[in-house]
Amino acid sequence: MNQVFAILLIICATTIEAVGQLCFKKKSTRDADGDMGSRMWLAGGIACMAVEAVVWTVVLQNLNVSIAYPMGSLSFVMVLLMSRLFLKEKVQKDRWIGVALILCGTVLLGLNSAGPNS
Amino acid sequence: MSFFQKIRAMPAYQKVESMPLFKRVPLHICVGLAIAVILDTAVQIFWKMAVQATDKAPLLATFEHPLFWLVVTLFLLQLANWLKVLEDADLSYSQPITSLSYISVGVLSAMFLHEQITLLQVIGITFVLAGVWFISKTDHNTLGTTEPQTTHQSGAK
Repeated sequence: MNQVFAILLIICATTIEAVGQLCFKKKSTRDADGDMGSRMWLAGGIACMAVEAVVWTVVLQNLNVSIAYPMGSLSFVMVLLMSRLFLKEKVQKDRWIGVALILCGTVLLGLNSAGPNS
Repeated sequence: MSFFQKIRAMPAYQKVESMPLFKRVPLHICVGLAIAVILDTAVQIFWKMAVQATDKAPLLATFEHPLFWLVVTLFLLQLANWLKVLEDADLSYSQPITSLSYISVGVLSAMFLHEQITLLQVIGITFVLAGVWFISKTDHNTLGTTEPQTTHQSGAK
């Protein structure tokens, strides 16, 4: 399998992760009556995590950890986008700056694992 | 920008006083996020240990290994805690903050595998910390879903 396919799979995995997180948030959000979200959200979230684990296993079989690891933190970007679109959270500029810095940080942390031990 | 503009307009003595380095985060959010990071770290490390311990074992033997059940338990605790955190905090606030586990996993595995932490890693850790700091400066809940009555808080911005 080629690397382009593996990278597409990572984007897939991070999207699934974000959808799962969205489900968890939906489960924990109280409606106007103070009731929590349906159990189906919890089930959806767990299902997403299970699918994600399978996709990640395939990714790690085909891609070096030093590339896969920092790309996994793309899930933070996905979560921000989806929180804004679907949960209507106010994603302030500081949150974007924060996530951008975290991305830089994980790239640097990942660079190291490209060293002698992989 | 408005934040910096406000700061710039202040007299010097006020600048120091009105620029607290850390925003006050409610205790239950703080504790919840800390537990989330600790459990996240534990899950990752024990998971790796479980995989290594059951590497050559047949698939069914994996389920008999105590490490496997430890991971499952930790995972369920993590899920319960996470749902609790999300009750009162934005997803776009809480989830990026859990990136702190990148640091704890890195530092712990370096300690246990006796690896040296390189300069590059230190810079990476600093970037992650800076990112989390920026996020912690924002309001933890921009929806106000915990209040049963929809009292609009004006002047929040």
